[in-house]
Amino acid sequence: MREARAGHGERAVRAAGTGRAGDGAAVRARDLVVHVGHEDRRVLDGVDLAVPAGTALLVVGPSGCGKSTLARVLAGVVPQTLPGRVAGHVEVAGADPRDVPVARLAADVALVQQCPGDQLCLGRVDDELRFALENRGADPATVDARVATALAAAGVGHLHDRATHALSGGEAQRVALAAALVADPAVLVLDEPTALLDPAGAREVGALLAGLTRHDPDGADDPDAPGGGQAAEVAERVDGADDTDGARGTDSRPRRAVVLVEHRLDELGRLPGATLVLDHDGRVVAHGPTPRVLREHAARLARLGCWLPLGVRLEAAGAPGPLGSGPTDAWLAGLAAAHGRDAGTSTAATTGTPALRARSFAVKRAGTPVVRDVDLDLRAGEVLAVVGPNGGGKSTLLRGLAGLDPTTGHLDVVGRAPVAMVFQDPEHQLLARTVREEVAWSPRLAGTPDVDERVARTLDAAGLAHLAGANPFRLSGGEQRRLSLATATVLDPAVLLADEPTFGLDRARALATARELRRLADGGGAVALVTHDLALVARLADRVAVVVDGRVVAVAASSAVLADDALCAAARLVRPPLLDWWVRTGRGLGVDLRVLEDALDARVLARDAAPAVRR
Amino acid sequence: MSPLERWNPTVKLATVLVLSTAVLLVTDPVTPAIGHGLAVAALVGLGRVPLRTVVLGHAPFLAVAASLLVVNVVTRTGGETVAVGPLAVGADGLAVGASLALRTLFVGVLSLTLVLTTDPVRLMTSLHEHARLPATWTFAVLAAHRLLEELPATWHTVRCAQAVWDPRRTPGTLPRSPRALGAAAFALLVAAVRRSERLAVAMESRGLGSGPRTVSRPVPLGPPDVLAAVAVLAVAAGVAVLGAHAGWLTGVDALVR
Repeated sequence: MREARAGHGERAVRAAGTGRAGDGAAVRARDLVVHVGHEDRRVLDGVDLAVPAGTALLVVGPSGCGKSTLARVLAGVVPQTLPGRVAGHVEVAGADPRDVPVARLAADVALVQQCPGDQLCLGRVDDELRFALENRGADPATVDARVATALAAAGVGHLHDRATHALSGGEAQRVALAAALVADPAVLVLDEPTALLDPAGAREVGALLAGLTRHDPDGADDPDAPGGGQAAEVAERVDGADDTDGARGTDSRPRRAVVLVEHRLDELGRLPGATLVLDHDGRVVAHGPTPRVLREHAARLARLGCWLPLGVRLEAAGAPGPLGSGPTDAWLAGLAAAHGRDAGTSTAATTGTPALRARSFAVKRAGTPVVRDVDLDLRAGEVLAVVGPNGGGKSTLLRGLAGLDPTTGHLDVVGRAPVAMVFQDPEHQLLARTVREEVAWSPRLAGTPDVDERVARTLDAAGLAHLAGANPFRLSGGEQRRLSLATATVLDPAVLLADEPTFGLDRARALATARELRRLADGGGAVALVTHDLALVARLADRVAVVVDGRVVAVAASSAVLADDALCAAARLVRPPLLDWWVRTGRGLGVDLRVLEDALDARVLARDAAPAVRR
Repeated sequence: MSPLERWNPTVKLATVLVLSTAVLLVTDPVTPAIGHGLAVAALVGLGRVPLRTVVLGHAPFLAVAASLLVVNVVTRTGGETVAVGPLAVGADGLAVGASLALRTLFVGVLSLTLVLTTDPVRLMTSLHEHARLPATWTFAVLAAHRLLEELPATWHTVRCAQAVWDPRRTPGTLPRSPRALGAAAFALLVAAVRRSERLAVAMESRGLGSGPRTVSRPVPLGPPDVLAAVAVLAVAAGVAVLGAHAGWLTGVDALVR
């Protein structure tokens, strides 16, 4: 019953032993130009990169810069499985990913994608890992042990017999990583593995990734690694780690190379040794040791709309030392004080009249209440953030408040209807043939007299005027997000509900979305948004509602909720570093966090970009 | 695992197919009734499926069975007139209708046996091992199964997401107009295509289809599995022989009478 290859060692080992590049680079690209999709859009333009075996490369850049496409090219998915044209030289684990079939390439190159649910193919956790080994012709006698080892290494050994659909996002993503690593690939490609996770889940995966990328001579040997300052923290994190990666550390094969596309850098904790920065057109801005690239290009990265690790941000802004040191505390307090009070903290939150009032409110799905015992006011002029663990009922609560799912109890929409809502996946909401028709949909149904004028104005404000005649399904993900927000705001709704309106967006676009929501609230609207981004909550929200297991366990001013350690732990909220500093120290020094964020951004942007380092 | 769960899924599937085909040749009501009774007994006794689950599982088949009975009673007027309550119906129609209805229930219980006592991964592994189906095919079926399980939830989300654009909507209800359902169906299709694209990438990047594969948890196929099939078919043959001797067994020729 066993197939011919069983017991002879799997194909992975043989393939890896043969064609590795002579210079030790496990991944190499020269003048890589990639066009994707049926529209043949160019997304990567002249990319050069090299990732030696045993090192890790971080790829950062704004939304739509071709980061994901790069990951897919390295795994052979573009152009083999998805349409695209790949020109130039590219070599991964000694093979050309355009020629070797994806499944065969997979013996050496493992790919982990963004959405945790979409990459688990089978119903049970251990089946998923066995599947990965069996496909590569692994010796059946060793499979159980290897599965157990890989699950344990990913910290999910206890989940071995669980159903994959019942896992939390963080658990599922760690299982996906275990399934990618179980066959011991020479190259690991990760495409934003933390993008869709709640803060605690992102930390779990981040910690695991830090372990994978930790031994990295490239970063550690950086000749101009600074002796002090914030960038040193990055270098130190890289070379301070010991080699405990037993799977690869002990055998004679060259070590694994890792390519990590990610923008939640603070969640990662430890960064890969080298970094590649791409711009909006898919061109290389910088490629080199992480500390140097991030330090020298901080202002450029900020302008591109990328997230920067807090350490780099502080150093670029001119902080005297790392976060938590006395001088830096004083410097931050001074910076916030000097920047003044222009963040416009809303007072409407405490005084505004309720635009929407829910009492003993419950939302049912298939007859059973998923969210219950809700007493909640949404006030005109406020932004309310709804936070809590994945699967806790946040989206269901919003759908109930929007009058979509069946509900019980009292729900009063004060003032003018309708309640508008932006869903998590913009493609679910599309129903017209063109962008213009899409935005015109609600005004037409409402019988608004000035439809055309209103639509034109809204498209302009959303920066979508040039796409008015385009098919909404053909827009990029970021454009679709802007479209659904434009459609939701075209009637100036009294209440806007938004389900994770910023997830997967780069920092510039996330902040632009935040400004749009703030503008709506300042104009007298009531806004509620579901989000996992606590930095965004601190920056945008007046009040926070915490939803755990289908109940609203707390509603209070943002600062009170974010500072409540017990509440944060119960709701799996993990504060990002600057917010944590503000709770522990900054608050006591009278710092307004919103002002401080703005001041830091202004300082970073004001810094002149160093001349580009292209290697 | 219950005996029915332990039974090799490929052999079980083949046996169920043989029985389902054989019962097509029978047009009397008694034979499928005996088959149905035996199948229910096996499902409860050897499959250890709660009787309540078996009864509830009958619902869709009962609907089909009832309509078959009614259609035949109404359209076949031959034979003696039989009084059913206040109605007078033809005996032929009643016999054929009852036979078709009971046949439906029998095949229904056989399907329940497959669904309730077979682990999908075991079935696919066994089909790959013993029926020589390509692994790419069997795992594609498993992935499609996962996709199908999620479709109802996605359908609901899409309908909510589109309904919210109507400022005059009635709270708690979703639009049912053909236009609204059409738009939702299109968005669902797009979502399903995107999802299956990502699943395909995931399966390829797990190395599916890279060449000969091994099986770490082979599904055993031994003499007991075959013996069980032989026993089941022998019982079925026994029921047929009994019917022929007792005189109630009729074949397809009864239909054209």
